[in-house]
Amino acid sequence: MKKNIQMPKLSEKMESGVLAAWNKEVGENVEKGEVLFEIETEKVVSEVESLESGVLEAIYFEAGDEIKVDDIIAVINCD
Amino acid sequence: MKYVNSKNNNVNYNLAVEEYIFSNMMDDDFLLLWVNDPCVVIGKHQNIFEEVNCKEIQKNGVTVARRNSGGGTVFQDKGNLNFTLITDYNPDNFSGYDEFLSPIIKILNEMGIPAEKRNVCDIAIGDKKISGNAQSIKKNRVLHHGTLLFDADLDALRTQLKPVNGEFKSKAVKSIRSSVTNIIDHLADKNLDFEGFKEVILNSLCSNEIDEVKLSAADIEKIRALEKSKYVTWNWIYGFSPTFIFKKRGDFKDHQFDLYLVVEKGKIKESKFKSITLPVEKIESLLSGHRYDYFVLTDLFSGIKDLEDFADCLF
Repeated sequence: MKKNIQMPKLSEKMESGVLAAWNKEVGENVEKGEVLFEIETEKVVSEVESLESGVLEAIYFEAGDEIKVDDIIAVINCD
Repeated sequence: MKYVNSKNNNVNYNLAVEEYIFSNMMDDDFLLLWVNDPCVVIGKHQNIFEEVNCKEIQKNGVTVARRNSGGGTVFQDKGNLNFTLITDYNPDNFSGYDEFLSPIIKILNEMGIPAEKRNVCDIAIGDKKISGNAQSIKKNRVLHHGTLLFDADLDALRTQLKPVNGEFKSKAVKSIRSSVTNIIDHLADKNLDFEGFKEVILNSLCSNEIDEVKLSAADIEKIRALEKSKYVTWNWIYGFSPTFIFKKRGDFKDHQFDLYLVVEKGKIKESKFKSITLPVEKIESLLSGHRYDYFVLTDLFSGIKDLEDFADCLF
């Protein structure tokens, strides 16, 4: 099954954030709980852990892109 | 809240202390106070080559560090007090900066300093900044840290860091220059020195009940290991910079050239030279794959006839 990974809301007032870095590449295995990417917004760096285990199948944004909360960032294939 | 007093003035050691406590000591809230010898500290996702003149930094042996939190570049010396607060984090009720900045502003106000919150995460007196703050969030914990400029000599270091002559393109986090002022110039009590100021901050944040924790020998050993394996490494300080392009028109002896570099993880991935008189293909193939590092490139060209000192014009 394919799961969409969305931009998380990390504080009450957050509307968007900058995807600061990918910690995984397309095609790589991801375990639940591993850091998938990092977000930087207002000088806050947040490590975002994967909620799924599987293969990172696609990414739709690159480091440096500003992304709205809930937008789909990536797809993990959990099969 | 537990208090950790770092008596070490090495920025990379102190950043390792912070990270160690943040990642391993989950059972309590922590306050750390720390002071660094003169150094430059960049934000986690900044391009160091764009922020500071790396050639000058390396030649002059200036200490540089990359912290784990966001934001821009700061210059520090022993007149700056760093404070770190580590506590639990829950995205549903996380207010961001206010819960950390409000107590600090209150303490400063009680000392007669007209400090106010500015923008999202600064403290200022009028239009001059006295404190910059940033955070790092990991699992269910948040680390907030900030600077407090008490009597720092910032010009001394800043003048060493001449801007780079060239053009950068990257999606890295950029610094925003602010005009700054020292707290000491706004104090009613002229007898208060740096140590006295630190005492006031400590006592007030701990509500006069200081619960100091001494790190064990085993803790310190692990902190040293983290400092060595991460904070002082070239791969962290320089190589962690986001991919960037550097363009410059320069001169080498009597030769003019145009330079175009693509640098990924700190290494030269692609270089293009335009010059009528320089051996461009030779230079391009020499540079390929090497670290974009003043000492590495100086060594690379040092034995090559007519190109000795060429590294000087690559930054």
